[in-house]
Amino acid sequence: MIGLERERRWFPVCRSGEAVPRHVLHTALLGQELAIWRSDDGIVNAWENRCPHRGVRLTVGTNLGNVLKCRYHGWTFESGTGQCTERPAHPGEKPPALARVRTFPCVEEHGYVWTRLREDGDDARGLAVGPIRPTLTLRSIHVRASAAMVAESLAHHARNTPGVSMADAVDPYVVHTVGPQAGTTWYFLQPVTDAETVLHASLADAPSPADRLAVLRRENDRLRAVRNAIEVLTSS
Amino acid sequence: MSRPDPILVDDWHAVVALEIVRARGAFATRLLGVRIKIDGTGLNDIRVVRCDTGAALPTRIEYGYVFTSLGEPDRDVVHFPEWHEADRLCVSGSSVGVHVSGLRAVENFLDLGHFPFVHTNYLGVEPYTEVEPYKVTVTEENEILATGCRFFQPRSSPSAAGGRMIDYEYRVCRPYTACLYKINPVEPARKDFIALLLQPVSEERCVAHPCLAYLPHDLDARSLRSFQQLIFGQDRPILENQIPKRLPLDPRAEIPARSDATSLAYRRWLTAQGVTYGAIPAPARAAEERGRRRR
Repeated sequence: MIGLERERRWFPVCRSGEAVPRHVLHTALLGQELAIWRSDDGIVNAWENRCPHRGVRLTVGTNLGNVLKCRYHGWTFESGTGQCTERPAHPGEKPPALARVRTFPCVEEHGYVWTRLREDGDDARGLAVGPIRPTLTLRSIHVRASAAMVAESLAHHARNTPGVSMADAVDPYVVHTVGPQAGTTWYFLQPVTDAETVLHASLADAPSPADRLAVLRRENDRLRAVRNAIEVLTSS
Repeated sequence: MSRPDPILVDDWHAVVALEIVRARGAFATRLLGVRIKIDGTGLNDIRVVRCDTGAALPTRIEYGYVFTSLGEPDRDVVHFPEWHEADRLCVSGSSVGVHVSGLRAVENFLDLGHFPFVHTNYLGVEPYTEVEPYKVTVTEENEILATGCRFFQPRSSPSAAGGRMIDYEYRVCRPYTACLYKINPVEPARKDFIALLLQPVSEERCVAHPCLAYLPHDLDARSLRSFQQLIFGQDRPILENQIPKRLPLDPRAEIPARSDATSLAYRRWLTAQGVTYGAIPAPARAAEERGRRRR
């Protein structure tokens, strides 16, 4: 997929549950640093991680509920629009329209926050999740490898795990495996940069409360094994 | 930009506190990307050499620092008369390395608006956040001068007993050197003096070497130095979270406010002198567009 095409599609950037109230999350997509934050009315924002005034990362700022306040000069930016609402050096003065953080489209679905880098993107969301929808969100892990290498490694791992098979590849950033023991697993890849990927994973079927801990442990071991296998390859 | 600007190559830069060289006998650092080594034991035998060519570099000792130059300086080390006033407490050393362009560090030094947010309860506190209009000029000596700056400070210096409005003046002497004069809280007729000498280690790294010349009311070198370290320790994490690390000179790259008059003048002044090391120069296109609009 070429650059422009990638910038038009949706990618998961964190689990919904990580965007807790009054918090600001730091992540990146295709080399673009992002500040993710949820306002008190529940809306999630995905912003360029840079105050338009003096370039300070907004992730060192404060989520005040409906505005994000920059750590350097206290400028506040409104949830939704990214527009500056106050510059404390000039109290009571309306900030210019140019004083605005660059915002990215943002939706929540399947337990994740999704964003894309361009406004004129693909509205079909490219989530590529079939009739079976993920219900249990697992721990997301960072891998020091390209998304393509992570996808390949997941496929390799599936082929070498008895009883697990790869579903048809529908999307280079979504891997879907089926197995009697693990059930259906979805892997969503977030290309942080060309050399770093966040691997988000979900199960289609929620385990019973009695099985939950065992399932989470098993899946956690599986993801770590995948990461270890990739990092052995990339560090050699 | 790998080749530093002649205006920086042919100038003096502080590279290490003299007392560090004396204590260790030798010290290695970088200036404008070039590895250099300083050695010696006292005032008369300090030597600075380039590690790549082994060439000896010109050396001066001033304000407790070793100064050197990679080129042929056509002017002397910057002059601070306050440092030589007999009744002042003069402190240098406790230099701090910062992973950001030295030009960003100068701009931070010139900035009033961040006091309540970065130096909370020391140099500022909410709700006293307003930056009143002040005057910025470029002098005949080609220095930037900001005068009439006022700010409410809860604890403006280690000798301050309580909060008060503090008058400030700022001066940018050279691209990587700035100083400020602030009213002494005990003796308001006179001003404390702070200079910040930024060593351009690379385009995206600097070492801030402070020179403080304070009126000595109830002060000793230790408390003054620790106050300076406290304040700079608050600035450092902010500076290291600036994106990009080099200072953008294109006026459209970052959105200023009226309170940023000094920093705007500084960015224009750097552009006018052709300083590009540690900066992202304004594209020529931007200058053309401004010209077209004027016509």
